Amino acid sequence: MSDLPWAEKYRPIKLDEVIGNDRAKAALRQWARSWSKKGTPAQPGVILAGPPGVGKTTCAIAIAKEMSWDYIEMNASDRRTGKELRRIVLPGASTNTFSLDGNYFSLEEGKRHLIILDEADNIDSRDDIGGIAVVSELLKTTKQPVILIVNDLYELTRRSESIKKSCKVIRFDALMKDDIARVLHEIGDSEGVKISFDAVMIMIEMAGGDARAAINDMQSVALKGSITSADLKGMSKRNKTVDIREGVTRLFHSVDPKKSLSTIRLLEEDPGGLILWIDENMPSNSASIETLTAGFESLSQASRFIALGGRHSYYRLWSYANDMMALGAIIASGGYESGEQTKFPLILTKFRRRNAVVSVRRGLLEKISKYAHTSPRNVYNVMLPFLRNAFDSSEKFASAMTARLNLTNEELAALLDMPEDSAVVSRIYKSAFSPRQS
Amino acid sequence: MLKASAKADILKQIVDVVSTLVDEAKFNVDADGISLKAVDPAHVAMIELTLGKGAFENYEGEETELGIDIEKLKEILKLAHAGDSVRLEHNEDKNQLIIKIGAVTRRMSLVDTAGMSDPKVPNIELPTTMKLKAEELNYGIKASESVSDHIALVADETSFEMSSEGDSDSVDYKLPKEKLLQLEAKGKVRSLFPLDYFSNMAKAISSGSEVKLNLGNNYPVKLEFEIAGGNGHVRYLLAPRVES
Repeated sequence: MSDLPWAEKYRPIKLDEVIGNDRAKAALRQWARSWSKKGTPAQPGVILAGPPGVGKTTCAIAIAKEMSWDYIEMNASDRRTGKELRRIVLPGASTNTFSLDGNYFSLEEGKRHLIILDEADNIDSRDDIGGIAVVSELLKTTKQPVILIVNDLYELTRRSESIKKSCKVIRFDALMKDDIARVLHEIGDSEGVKISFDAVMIMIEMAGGDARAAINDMQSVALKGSITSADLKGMSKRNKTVDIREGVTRLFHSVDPKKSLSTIRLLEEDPGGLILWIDENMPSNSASIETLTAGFESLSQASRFIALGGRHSYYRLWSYANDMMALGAIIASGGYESGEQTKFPLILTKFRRRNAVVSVRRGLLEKISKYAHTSPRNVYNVMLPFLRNAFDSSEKFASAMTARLNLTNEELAALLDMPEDSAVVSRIYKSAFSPRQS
Repeated sequence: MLKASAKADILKQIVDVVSTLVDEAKFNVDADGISLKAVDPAHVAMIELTLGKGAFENYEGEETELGIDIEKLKEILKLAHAGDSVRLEHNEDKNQLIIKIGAVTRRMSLVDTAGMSDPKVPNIELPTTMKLKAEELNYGIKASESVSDHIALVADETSFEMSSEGDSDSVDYKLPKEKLLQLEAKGKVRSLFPLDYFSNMAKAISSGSEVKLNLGNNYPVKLEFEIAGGNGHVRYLLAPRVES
């Protein structure tokens, strides 16, 4: 057992042993208790959102133990195609279950089966076609509690309105330095590794609020039984990316340009993207009209540097752009903390939506054009309206054609001009690909 | 340690029975034979399999665990023809199972069993017991398949009934006691099950076999049957659907 990663070996079992995020833990417990009554609560799901390494998965498993629930966990290392999710996640959502150690869990006796989907914001990437539709079906039909875990809440909710509706959102924050220090010292004591105060501070700095990263770092240098700051020289600062939303909030709350610049450096966002975020959020974060005007002055300077730098491939200008953006945010907020949530730039949403629509439509047109031996343009101009009409008037025809053209869920939705997770789309899709029909 | 050989049909039968529920499984080997207990990935069903050494043409075993990728084994067994003998040998140093079919030697790496659970048999009392032909069971399932995703199993002192109710259609298949090989019941019991699971389990029973079926009220169903010419025994457990 000793070769286990320490982050696993010392993973807390009980909810109260998890460090930090007290409010999130209390909210999770409250949600879990809403399942103690008979029936299914209005929000059968909960979304735990927050940066990596702060204990989201640990809390999910801990709450299952606290409530004496059975649980399954699926994470990004499992194959998570729509088909696999359907096979592994959906059945237990509407039946009683058996735990892995062979106990019978009956809902009538309040013994529930928790479904944990880790990294749910990554479910619908290229190879996971249809995955999101299954998650939304799960939340609509489940009689068992569901926990979705995400780093980026928006990545998940932009794909499906219904997921958000049936879930309570609980946010987890990066951990406090003191808390991580305590954990590192405790593990050091148990493993018999002496660790100097400076070394702890360096490791915490490198990890940036991510306890798992700090513990992994510690284990990787702990082979010789003690750790001093000298041992850490060779380790580069973890390439920890600050979530853009969190970063932008920090920029508006900052009063120190230097700190703002180091925040910007941690963001994995080029200035052209960052400026859109600041632009979107500046009005709601400004103290007054005057500060807002001054803030936008700086931002327009930044915009010029970005354009110049890009046009002449002289990217050193971008660092001036960063300066102006950092300054602009500080000036606009004028020390005022709005407490409002950082919004995603509207202009990007529109672009993204358009791009997604265009690429799905292209796929659809290509499939039909191959089938009908005609050009995609011709399909679009001549055939599509008729086809949509035919699909509308007969679901039987629609499902047969969906199977024949091997359409994805998204393409079918585009053809019907309906949302991806609407009942009609999933019904046709399901009947097209259900094995019983073939 | 394991050195054994068996007819391909028997191994195929075992693989079918297990692959109905799990992709990977831990087989426990000892001097008397091979056994397995597993919960399916969705935690909805369980399997318990025991295989006496009589199921093999020859058998030598010492206590060990084999983690087997069932789908892979299924593919390998496709190399064998009906009457072929298949030789199995565990190479402990390389953690491989060596499978010899005719002139083919296939070395299959085993899966780490550390993460695989060792379920006990849950403590469940099912008041109603019956025996019937596998064909009868499959016939009832077939009747339900076009109607709904669920199947209700209902029994009392006089009959056993499989029924399904869809949005607009419904179906009943009723077997009076005389049509069953055995029926012991006290009062009426009824439980509802996911049809795809129940159907896959029933399909894994080879035709001509007898099935013992245990039923309760909103409680799991147990299917028991023999394989490998009576040298193997399979128990399936399936949890009921929650009716709102």
